[in-house]
Amino acid sequence: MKIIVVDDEPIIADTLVNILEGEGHDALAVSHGESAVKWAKMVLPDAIVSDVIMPGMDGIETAIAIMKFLPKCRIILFSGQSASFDLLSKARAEGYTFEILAKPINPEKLLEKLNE
Amino acid sequence: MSSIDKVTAAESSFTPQLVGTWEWDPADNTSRLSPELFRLFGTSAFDPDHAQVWASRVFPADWANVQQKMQEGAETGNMEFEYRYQHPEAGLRWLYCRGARLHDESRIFGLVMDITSSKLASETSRQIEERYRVIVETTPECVKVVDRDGTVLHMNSAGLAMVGAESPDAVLGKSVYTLIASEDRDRFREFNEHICRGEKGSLEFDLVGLQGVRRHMESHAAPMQAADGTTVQLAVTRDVTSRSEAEKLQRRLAAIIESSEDAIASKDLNGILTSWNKSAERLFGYTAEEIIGLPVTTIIPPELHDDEPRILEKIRNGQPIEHFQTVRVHKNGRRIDVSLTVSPIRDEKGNIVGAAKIVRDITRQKKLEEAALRLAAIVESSDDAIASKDLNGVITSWNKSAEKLFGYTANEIIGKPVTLIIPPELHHDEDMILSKIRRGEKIEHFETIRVHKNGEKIEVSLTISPVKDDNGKVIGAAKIVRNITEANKIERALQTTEKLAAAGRMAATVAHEINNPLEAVTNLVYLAKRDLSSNDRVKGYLELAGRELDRVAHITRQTLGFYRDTSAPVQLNVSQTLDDLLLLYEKRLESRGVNVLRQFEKDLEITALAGEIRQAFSNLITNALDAMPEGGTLVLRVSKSHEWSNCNLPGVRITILDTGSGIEAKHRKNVFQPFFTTKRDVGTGLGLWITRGIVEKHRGSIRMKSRTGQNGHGTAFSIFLPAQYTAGKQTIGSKESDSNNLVSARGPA
Repeated sequence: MKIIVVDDEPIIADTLVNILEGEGHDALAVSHGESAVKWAKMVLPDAIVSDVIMPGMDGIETAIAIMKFLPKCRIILFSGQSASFDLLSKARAEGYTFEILAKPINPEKLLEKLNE
Repeated sequence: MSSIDKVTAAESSFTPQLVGTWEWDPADNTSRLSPELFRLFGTSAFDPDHAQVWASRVFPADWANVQQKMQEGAETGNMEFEYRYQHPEAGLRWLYCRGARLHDESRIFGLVMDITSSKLASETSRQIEERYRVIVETTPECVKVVDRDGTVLHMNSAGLAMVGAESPDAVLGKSVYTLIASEDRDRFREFNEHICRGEKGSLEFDLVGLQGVRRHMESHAAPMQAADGTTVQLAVTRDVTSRSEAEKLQRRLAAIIESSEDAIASKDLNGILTSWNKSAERLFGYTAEEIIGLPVTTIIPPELHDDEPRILEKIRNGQPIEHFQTVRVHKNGRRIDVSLTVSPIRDEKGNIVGAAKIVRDITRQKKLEEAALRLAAIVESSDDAIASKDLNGVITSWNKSAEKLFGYTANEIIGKPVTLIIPPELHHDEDMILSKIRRGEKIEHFETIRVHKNGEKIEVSLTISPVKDDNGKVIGAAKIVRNITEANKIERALQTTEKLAAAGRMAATVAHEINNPLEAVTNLVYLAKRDLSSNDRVKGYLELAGRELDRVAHITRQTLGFYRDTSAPVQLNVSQTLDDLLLLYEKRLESRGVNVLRQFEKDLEITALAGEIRQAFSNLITNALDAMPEGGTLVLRVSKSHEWSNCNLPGVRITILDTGSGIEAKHRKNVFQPFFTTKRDVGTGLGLWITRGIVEKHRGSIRMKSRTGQNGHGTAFSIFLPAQYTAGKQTIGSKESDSNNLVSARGPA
């Protein structure tokens, strides 16, 4: 599975990539939304695992942008801040429904989620 | 000396006199009479017996005197006498006889005069004078004659008695002024001179007399011509001391009646008004002039006219009527509430001749009474405890709310010292309060502690005002006591919530900072475990580290509300949701030996935020498990229901019941409070708080019952969730939800 991991904290992005690679996935770490969209166009990932609150494009904007050209791409959002949920309801108003997992996310649960 | 003397003297000098002369020789008893004398005697010179005839005509009663005088005259040669004589034509006459011996002869020469007219005149005057004298002497009033200088010329015996003179000498010829009270002397002198100038007059003055006995006198005086031609005062003076006392008394009574605040009137036995004072004029609008002579029914309303004969009947029987409350009519038609007191009036003989009535206007009094009743009702029905005390701190009144607040009835506490409801350590408060009140100061919103009859302390806010009498003197204090125990509890709860809200906001802002490193560490531990799986010990450590991290994650999720559902509300099968959750806890249920009893009404669905509902159920199941470390039964019940307070709101009731140790009574009211936990080691104190938040967000409600008794213990949480989801209020950090739940959470406890 080709996965792009987006988090403005490199240590999180890098460790997640490491974990996903250990499970046999082809993962790529980027640190903000804009590069996620850029790389998504190039690698055409099966899934995006993204933080929500980030400088620049937030996770939801990133997800919506990617869904426009990759409608089948799976989106997994995770966040450590309740402000994320406000963004979520905004997205819902625009017709997009996302699930946000709370940080810290147990790596095993993340893997389960990807395998659903 | 009197005017009568002068009158008769003048009269006699003008009366023509008939005088006869005679010669009488006693030695041989021969006589010669002049012709005038024969005419006086009515005898004839030719009658040889004329002397016998004369003798026979002398008034028999005077004969002896005549004989004696003649015999004496014969011896002494001098005679003078009067006698009555029966004249044959002129009738009874008074004759005057005078005779004297000339030289040394035996013959006596004399004359006889008819003095009848003068004699009669003087007799009349004597009689008149005597009559006047008697009148003057017997009159009980003082009769006196005073000359221009104030010298007393005459005073009758009544007068002498009045001035305290033992004999006429003590007064006659003395100054009258010394007898007059000093303050009246000048007036009396002026009066005396006024009379002596020829005017009539009267005067009231005080007499002190010779003995210093003060009497009030009334004198009527007229000028009189004295013998010497001067004008003197003739006065008749009456002792009016007693009369003036009575008059004064009457005047005083009249003044009292006239100035009385009460209307006072009198009527005769026919109900005709006979007197009417000023207050009656004011009260009824009729002047005395207008109404005296009119029937009393003028002021009685027509429907009460029947009263009057009854009143009159009572009065005729001599029965007074006291404080009879009735209605009368003002001249302008206005009704007046009055209190009547009617008493019979008796004449000197004791016959009832009328009635005196005192009428008091009680309209104002009635209004005051009504106002007082109204105030009393307000005080009695006030939600605030209202009590009053005197300046010694003795309770004098106590309303219903005070009874409720302090547990003492009014009967129990009135008359007792107010310190009964003050905790001993605050007794000095009372001294401060009383001294302020004595100075007339008010105490407002003084927050302190009082004690209920059962010993429980009550937090109160006192407002104490001095109570003053009509003269403005402080006689006590009225206090309004407001129970602020509840208010303070709410206040404290609000403060707590406020703090929590702040803490929550802070936690949320740092959440990112906590959750991100936590995410990183979780990932790193995972990687370490994966890459070091060859080393069993290290793997063991890392597994422990992972579990601890899960716990930290769990806490942060619960604390910061990260279990909020991220999806839209969905149709949720309630029993299915519980079944799914129980799967998660299967292992723990088994290891603890907890039986699960499912009492599900199948296929009940609600619209809800699935994740949050799951969180709420899961918190309750976790609590139930924690309550039963030694095993027990977990009962899950799902039934169709409606809201407790609103039957029109359909939904589902979920009951999660354990047979654990139960929650101690003192903790029950706190279980929904944030950070409250009985699980010292593992609890966050947030589970139930968050659960309640979720339930309320769904417009549902949650209640708890718990028992700790020997024969049945455990805790039951009952949740109602409406069938349809409508977004409710955000509860975490919200004031209302905490204060509301403080109450609802206490209900079932």
